[in-house]
Amino acid sequence: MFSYFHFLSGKRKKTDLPPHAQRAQVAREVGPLSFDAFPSYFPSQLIHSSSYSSELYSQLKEKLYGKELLLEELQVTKEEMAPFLKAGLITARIGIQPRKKGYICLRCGTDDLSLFGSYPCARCQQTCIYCRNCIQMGKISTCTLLFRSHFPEETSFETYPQSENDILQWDGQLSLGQQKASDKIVEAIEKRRELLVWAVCGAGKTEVLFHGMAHALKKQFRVLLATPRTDVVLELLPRLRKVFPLTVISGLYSASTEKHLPASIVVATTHQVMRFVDAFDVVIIDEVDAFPYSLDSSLKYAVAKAGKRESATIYLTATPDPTLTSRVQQKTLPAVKIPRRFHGHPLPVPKLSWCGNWERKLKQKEVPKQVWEWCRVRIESGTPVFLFVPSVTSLQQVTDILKKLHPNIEGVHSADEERLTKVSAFREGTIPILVTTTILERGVTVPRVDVAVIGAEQDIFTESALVQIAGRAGRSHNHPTGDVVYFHYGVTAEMNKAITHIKKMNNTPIR
Amino acid sequence: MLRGSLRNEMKHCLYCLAPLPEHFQWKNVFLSETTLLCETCRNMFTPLPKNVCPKCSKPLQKGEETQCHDCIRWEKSTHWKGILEHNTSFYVYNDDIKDFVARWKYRGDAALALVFKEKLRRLYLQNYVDYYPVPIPLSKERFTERGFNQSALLASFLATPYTIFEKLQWMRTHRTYRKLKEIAPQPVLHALRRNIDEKKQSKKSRYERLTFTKNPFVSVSSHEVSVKGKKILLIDDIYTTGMTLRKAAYRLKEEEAASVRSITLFR
Ligand SMILES: [Zn+2]
Ligand SMILES: [Zn+2]
Ligand SMILES: [Zn+2]
Ligand SMILES: [Zn+2]
Repeated sequence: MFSYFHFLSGKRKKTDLPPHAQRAQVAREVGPLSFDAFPSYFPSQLIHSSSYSSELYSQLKEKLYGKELLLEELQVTKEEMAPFLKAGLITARIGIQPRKKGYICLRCGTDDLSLFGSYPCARCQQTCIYCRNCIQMGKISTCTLLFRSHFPEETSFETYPQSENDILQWDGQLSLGQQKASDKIVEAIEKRRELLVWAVCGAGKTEVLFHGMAHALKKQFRVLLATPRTDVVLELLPRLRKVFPLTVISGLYSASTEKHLPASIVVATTHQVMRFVDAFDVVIIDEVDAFPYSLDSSLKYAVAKAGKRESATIYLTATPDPTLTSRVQQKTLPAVKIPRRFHGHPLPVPKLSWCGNWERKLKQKEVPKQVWEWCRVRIESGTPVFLFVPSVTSLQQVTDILKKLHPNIEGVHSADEERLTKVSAFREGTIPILVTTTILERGVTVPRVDVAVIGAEQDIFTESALVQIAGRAGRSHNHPTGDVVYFHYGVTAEMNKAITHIKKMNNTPIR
Repeated sequence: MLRGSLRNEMKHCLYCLAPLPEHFQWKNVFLSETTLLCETCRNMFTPLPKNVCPKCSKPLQKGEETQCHDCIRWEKSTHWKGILEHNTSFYVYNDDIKDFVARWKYRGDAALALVFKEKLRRLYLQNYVDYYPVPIPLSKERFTERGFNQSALLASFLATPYTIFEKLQWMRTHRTYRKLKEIAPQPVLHALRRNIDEKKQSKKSRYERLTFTKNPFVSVSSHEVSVKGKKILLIDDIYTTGMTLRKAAYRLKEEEAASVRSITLFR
């Protein structure tokens, strides 16, 4: 069917690209509105209005650097915007575009019809279609314009150091595995190619990026580090600022204040990445499959759109998803593995422990005997414990029950307001067991921690989630081992796959 | 048309967009909070307690036996006495709802109004069939800026033609027989216009709100939208002090409306 169609149209097969990349392509191809089209959005008297102030010029230029934004986000009026459009310094296009079957939102890339709403619009006097997927960032509808910069580029890098040694001020040592990956990253950036870096949890992924980033900065490339999670942004920012002291680095997450800073390195969460278009030479996607958020298609689209057409893309992950793995097998995606942790010890292999109908036990205000015993032994020996549960409901139940064991035991979930305080209390040792629904902090080393899952047979615990959970244990030099137990009510294929995965990583030679 | 999805079924929770379980999806022909929202989001909407003021739906405090103090105070004022006869509300206004309303009104997620459709219609059919819905208007500037008026969306739910089931129910509650085609809801009357927007309510003290004497509403008197002798049902999203509703009701009473009551979602 498709090949016939493409034979007729004579076009290059777009269908070779994965769906998110196809959509990003569409987003790139939709051109700006012609100037004549503006009267329907801007009354004609505005279009012929007076010239702009130089203050506003530099403000807008800075805000729009690499981005596509709404009028509300720019905080200017239509009157103030009009002269910039007239001068061609800023272009505009409609945020929701019709497609063969339905619509696409140019900001978040949604083309799922069930994520669009419609309403009788007082602005355009028609039924407006709007994107409900990214409405938290300001509404985009069929009568909303997205503005994009065409300001002339000035070379702002003149004073920037030319030597990699000045750019990167770090004297840490890379392990054998890290060094190999680091070299591959430099090569991928040089050749503007894709690369999958497959690193076990605790392999020291961030350090692996340093040389590649320094290389990119030297070439005056702009670098994006995207991640689904705010925690990761907060954790990476100070580390990067320390080793790249002369570089402008901005961190973008929903509560950050530095939103409109033109920077050479941008560390951002999914939603923030959506605002960029055609802006980066190097795109690094961290934790491609971070439990509990697997890389949703919005983030895939967002990073594809944020990168320039010819950009290097580095995927960093402990648990590549099936799409990536199959591309590696087909040899369409180069990959490098770091199978060992930086301290050289293997990952702890999880144990399976049947614990019966734990849900019923919880209703009876009890945890299964095995779980209780396992926790008690660890409290007595002073071993900190991460205890994973499948849902917020079970989180509360388990926490309440375990408090009988030790009053300081706490539960924390992703929407918990006290999350950061609880996590730091856990790290300091005042909370002996932290019951949790998600992996809270990536790369944070809680020494000597043991890890268990209750209800490991639940759907939420996929192979990759279970691997990531196991990776919490044994992360420090002094205590490279750690106990990992999956308490379950029936072994699932995912549990077996996770264990095989870990064993396989442990058996992979470094060269 | 107001829609929360351009597909015929709802695949996602209307509020948090989490996928809905499949047995939910076919049900939402009925479009109510029970089928549009996931369980977590549904639990955000706390029904008012049983013990509320019969006049304004405010939960009664200690020492308030039959009516709340606010209502007693309103009725003591010669200016406001008898202006708003009654208010019904559905849910408690709390922090979760504050976020919900912010996304609905200020972020402009118009479709969230659909959550209340069934509940509003049911109440209307039970108690207000002879009332004309009148939405609380926005100023022209605010209306174009926002793109829609949430009160008007809610009012429009009451004016869409009855289904067969609703018509049968109409006959049952009114214990009267009518030909099916004669049973129709009253049209929405856009009987008011708003000249000035009050400052964001939350930024003002209660005292300021109550003493802000200027009435922002004017009545739109024309042949089609005359309210004279009619029973009027004002529709708004939140009842805070009742001032806005009373100011609107005052204008309608000036135009000789027979009776003014109100439905507000949150109290
Ligand atoms: Zn969108
Ligand atoms: Zn519109
Ligand atoms: Zn929900
Ligand atoms: Zn009352």
